[in-house]
Amino acid sequence: MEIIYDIKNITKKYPSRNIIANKDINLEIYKGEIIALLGPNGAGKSTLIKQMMGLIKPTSGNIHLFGEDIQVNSKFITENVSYYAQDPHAITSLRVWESVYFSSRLKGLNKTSAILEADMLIRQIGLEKYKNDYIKSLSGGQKRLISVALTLTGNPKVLIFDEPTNELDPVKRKKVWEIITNKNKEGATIILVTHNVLEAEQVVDRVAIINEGKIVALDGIKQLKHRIDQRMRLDLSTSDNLITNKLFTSFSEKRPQRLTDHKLRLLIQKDEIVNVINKLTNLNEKFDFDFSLVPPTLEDVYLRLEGGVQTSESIGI
Amino acid sequence: MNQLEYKQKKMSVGQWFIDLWILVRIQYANVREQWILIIVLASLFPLTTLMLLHFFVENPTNEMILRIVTGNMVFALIITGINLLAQDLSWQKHRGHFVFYATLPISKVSFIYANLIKGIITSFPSFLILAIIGEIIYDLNWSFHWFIIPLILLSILSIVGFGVFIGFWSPSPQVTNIVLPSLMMFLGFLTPVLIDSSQLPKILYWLSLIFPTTYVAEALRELLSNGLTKGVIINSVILVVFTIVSYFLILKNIKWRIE
Repeated sequence: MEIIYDIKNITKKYPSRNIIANKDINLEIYKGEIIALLGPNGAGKSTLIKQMMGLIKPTSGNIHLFGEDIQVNSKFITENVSYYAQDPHAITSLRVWESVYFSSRLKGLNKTSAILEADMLIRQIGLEKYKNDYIKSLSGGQKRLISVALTLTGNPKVLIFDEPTNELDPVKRKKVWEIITNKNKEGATIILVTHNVLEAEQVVDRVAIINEGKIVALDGIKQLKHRIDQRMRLDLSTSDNLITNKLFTSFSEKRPQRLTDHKLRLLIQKDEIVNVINKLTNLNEKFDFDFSLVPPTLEDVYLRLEGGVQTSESIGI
Repeated sequence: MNQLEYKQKKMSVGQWFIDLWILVRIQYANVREQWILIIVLASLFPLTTLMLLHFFVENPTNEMILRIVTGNMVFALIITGINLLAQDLSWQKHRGHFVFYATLPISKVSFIYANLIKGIITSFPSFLILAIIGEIIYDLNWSFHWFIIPLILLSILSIVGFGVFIGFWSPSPQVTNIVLPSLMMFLGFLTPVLIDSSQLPKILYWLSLIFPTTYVAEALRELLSNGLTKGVIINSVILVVFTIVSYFLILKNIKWRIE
């Protein structure tokens, strides 16, 4: 497979603030794939994509894009990669249509093609009705759709989306995912940063889970899930905080996650299921709670890592 | 039927001007709804300074009036090339606009010039108002020479570096707003812009030689009173040097990417 981005030993330190944003990151991104970078807030995902866009200079390590060192040739990035910023605040004084048209022109399209592309993209994001409106007069969700359209201008080979569905309603989220997958089917390589694990699971090929500036898991979704397939997810729901505490203590050796005051989640080995069910039945006689056992999802992998586990080995990944 | 065609963007002089034109339109969009107000406000400072100096100086000679009017015209240029540009860049930097522009295949210089052109559009009228006031109210017989147009452009380009460096390096828009009036006061009142160089202390006179505004004021005064003389040419050549140096300093030292 052709490597688009080749990231080698990237580290970013901010000595004045005593912060290490990311450390020794190695990642290869392949042509035509959709890869998601998942991780909690402050994990270093945005730093990594800004390094990939040449917006942040790494303290050490190097990044090659199509074989070109981006530290040496930063123009090469803007010619090949399009970056989605959540809010198009730099151009909110423009009207919808002219913002897309100007972006197409700045990406090198001639006048005729830019007009055609602006019409096409505004149709795609479903904002034809608003094409003569000022961006600043639109809702937050509509502004994000415009950002998506701006990212698509010029038919880039690589698209980087930072939280593309953040704060969008379900209909708009679906539209954005459709646009992203269609673009991928046309041959574009997509790099996503998202918190929306459940939605990302439907579209991405590979996932890099980042925590505390390091990649703690990197694989295809099937592979990641397969590696924890020997486990089942147990969800416990209570109506009382005290019962939650009792259950938490009873299953403490399984390192349960407290999702809310009334919800616990834990992963259990398949061969432990009978024992756990017996234990749950006994406890259920004393306390009122519900439970469900389901196969693990990508979110379980993500939450497990986010929940303080630092290495993939420690959860068997 | 027209077809949508995608081609790899190639940088050429023609493409550079297309980018500049688009960026000017984007920048101008930020002020298109308030342009009258901006023009009035941009004119206020040189106009009020002009009036103050007129009331302050009793029985001014023609030479003094000429210096006051042209000095205030230089003020209008300083507002364009330094104040408006620095404020715009600083504001855009701290609102995160640079991330948007830095991810586009455009040159940093075309972005800066687009901001500058927007500044010229909004503050050129104040320059013109001052010239008309000088001609009508103060009865100055201007010698309008075609060279005034390139001289104005050269004057703005030669002082742009100050605006760019303050705008890019200022840690916050508040600091920009503190630095700019101080610089403007210094350039206006402590260099030979409004005051004759013989009236300045030696240290200030020598210091003024490193500021392009000194040569702008000289050239403008000379051109408007005597036409295109040798003095105008010499001062213009110095301004060309300032323009070239500031262009390369901007290219080398100004980074719109986060370090």
